[in-house]
Amino acid sequence: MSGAEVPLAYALVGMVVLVRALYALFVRPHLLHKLVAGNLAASGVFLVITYAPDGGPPDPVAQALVLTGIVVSVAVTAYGAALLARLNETSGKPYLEHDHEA
Amino acid sequence: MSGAVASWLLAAPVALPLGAGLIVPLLRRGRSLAALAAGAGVVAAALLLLAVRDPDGAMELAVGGWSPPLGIRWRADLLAITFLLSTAVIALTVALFAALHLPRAEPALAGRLWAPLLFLWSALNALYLSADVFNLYVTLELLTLAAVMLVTLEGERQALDGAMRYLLVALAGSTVYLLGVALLYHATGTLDLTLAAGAVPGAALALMTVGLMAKGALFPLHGWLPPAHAAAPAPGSALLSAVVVKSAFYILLRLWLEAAPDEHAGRMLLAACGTGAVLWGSLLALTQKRLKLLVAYSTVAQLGYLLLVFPLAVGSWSGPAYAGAVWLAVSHGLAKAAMFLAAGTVMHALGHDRIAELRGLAHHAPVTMLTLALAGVTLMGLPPSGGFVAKWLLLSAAFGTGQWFWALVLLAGGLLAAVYTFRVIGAGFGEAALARVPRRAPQWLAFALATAALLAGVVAELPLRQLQEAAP
Amino acid sequence: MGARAVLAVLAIALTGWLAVHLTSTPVAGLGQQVDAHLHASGVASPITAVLLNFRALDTLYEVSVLAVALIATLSLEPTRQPRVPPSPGPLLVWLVPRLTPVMLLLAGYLWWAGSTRPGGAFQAGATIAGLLLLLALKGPDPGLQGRGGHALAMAGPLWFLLVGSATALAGSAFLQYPDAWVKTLILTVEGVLTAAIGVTLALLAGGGRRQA
Repeated sequence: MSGAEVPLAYALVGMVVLVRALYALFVRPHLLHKLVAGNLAASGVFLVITYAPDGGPPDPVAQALVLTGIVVSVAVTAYGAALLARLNETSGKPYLEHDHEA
Repeated sequence: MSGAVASWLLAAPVALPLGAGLIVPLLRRGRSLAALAAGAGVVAAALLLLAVRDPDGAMELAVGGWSPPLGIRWRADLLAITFLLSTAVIALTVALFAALHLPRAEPALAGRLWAPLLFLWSALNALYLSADVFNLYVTLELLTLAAVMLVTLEGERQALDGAMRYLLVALAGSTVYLLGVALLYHATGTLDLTLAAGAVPGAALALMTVGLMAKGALFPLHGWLPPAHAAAPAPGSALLSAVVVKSAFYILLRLWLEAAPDEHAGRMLLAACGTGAVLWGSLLALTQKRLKLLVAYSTVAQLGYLLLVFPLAVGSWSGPAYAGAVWLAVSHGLAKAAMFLAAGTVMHALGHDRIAELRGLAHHAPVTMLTLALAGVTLMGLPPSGGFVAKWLLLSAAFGTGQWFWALVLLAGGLLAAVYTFRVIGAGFGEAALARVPRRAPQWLAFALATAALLAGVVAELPLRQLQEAAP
Repeated sequence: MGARAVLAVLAIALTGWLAVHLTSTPVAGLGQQVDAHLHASGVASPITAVLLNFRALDTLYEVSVLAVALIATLSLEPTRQPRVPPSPGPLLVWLVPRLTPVMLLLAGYLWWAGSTRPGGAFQAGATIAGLLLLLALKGPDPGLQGRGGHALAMAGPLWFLLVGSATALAGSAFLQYPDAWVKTLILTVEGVLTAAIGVTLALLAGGGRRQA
């Protein structure tokens, strides 16, 4: 396994995941899909962060950044899910209203 | 200045509200007192920082004792101190208003305001001080969560909907911003803005900018703001419009004027977005039927002015343009907070905020009417307000750099602001009874903020001169 | 179908651009810097050193994000009564009491091992959270939804903040551990964080109910 090629592949996969997930976040109407898409998009970025060009030992700062990012992502997703549940209870459906008062 | 003093003086604005925010959810009583005490401490620290400021440099602290690139650096230069102090004054006043107004107006949510308010404040202060792009990401996340929580406090479907929209846009924005951070790190090997200055890849700058525009409701990514800010309780809306959204602009200032000062291509694009914000936001503000939505759209518009600083801060005009933009941010913060607090009083007094039915307000709540009028003066940019002085500087820079078309934007925005302000003021006259008599003390607090915005033009000479000297 | 095609092209283009961008400006990360200062960090694991020492401010804010997520979740009042969970099946009833000491031990090990190898507060905290959720599923409720649980959740970031503030008041920088105490302080911070993160994650996953 050559050193630099494998990490680059991960970073590229991360990019694809990010683009696809952001698209889903905007386009998919169901709020749960949007939330999960947001979570996945962040994971895509984490893959790009951990890219190590020289194929040498992994970069501890990059890994620490990703660890931090994961926790933040978990927190936001968890809260988003609770907010979604409450919105669903209150409005009867898990979608955003597209018309608000003018 | 000894290292020890620097350390706790810089840490206080971050640590005090954070500590209070963590303790407050565990208290049954005394939440507002804890919050106000922490807030007073922050104001004191900010004033002290201003007093001991070294005009030639900035107070800096290597957090944890580790300097960049290994560690994170806090720096308190004039820009940071300006934002720290103005945010502190606004936040403390809003907190006082909330302590006096909410128990009577909205008792169900009164106790739940304090934690998000404190966390929001701590995150803002950390954001102002931080010179590390990843640290900025984490502070932005804390800020967003606290802000979204403020939007949900009323609990109705519209509030939850606005909050969810805000959360999703902010989530997308953070993710794009984080990708920019990743690229910056890979290209420069550091996360510190000063170390990376001049070497920021255009792609990283673009990504971070797009992410920040989403978080800061900068046209065309502004759609989430009006429903969210209108649905929050009045003190929440005040903080959201006055200081939270400006945090994105603050970071953009740091990025475009300090870290990547040679990127000129994007600056025009930013100002074009600003133009869109001013025109679109103002036009939509004119058509609103509810006061809080009008004020929220006004925020979208006023944020647009701030983006004009980027093409104007060139050459010998960078000082005036920079000072004008910063002063505009400060003045708008004071005025917008005043407006939303006044809107809170209106809501309480009438039971609604429909502009068509504001009759009786001028007669029975004159302080609130006056607050709205004075705040409007700053938004319009009339003398002697801070808004006027700031716009004057930006106008001079526009003509001085030969970019007179931005002057048209500034003037057009002022005219439109006048129209929607007079619409609100005019609606308040006439005779009608109020549903409830609002307390006087909170009204005076809002009035004080509006007056401060007005006086910001009068006392501006020294601060503006210092800002011009400190311009990057 | 047109939108999908556009998206596919966009994804491929962006990915290709990223590949070119990343490989054309190869810059080493901060690994060398970390290794150079590792001896002074109080721990032997480079990642833990970054998280709890070099960039401790990020971690402080990150655990605050967790705390705010919990507070925000708790403030969303449910209108219905919380559903009583279905009675646990025989597998849970048999497994959970046996798993409990194992998971506690695992969490303790992860916390302790964090100073020398991958591990630390988050991993241990996640294990604790898993345990708490299993206990909640089996019943009876571990009872963390009241004051005690919330206090525990806030205690993690609070202790971290206290340590950092104490160092500032004592004359060093904010969050600068004094040399003699660095390893102990990091361990205590991680210890309290383990409990706090465990409780916070469990409450978040359980939907968080408003305190009585």
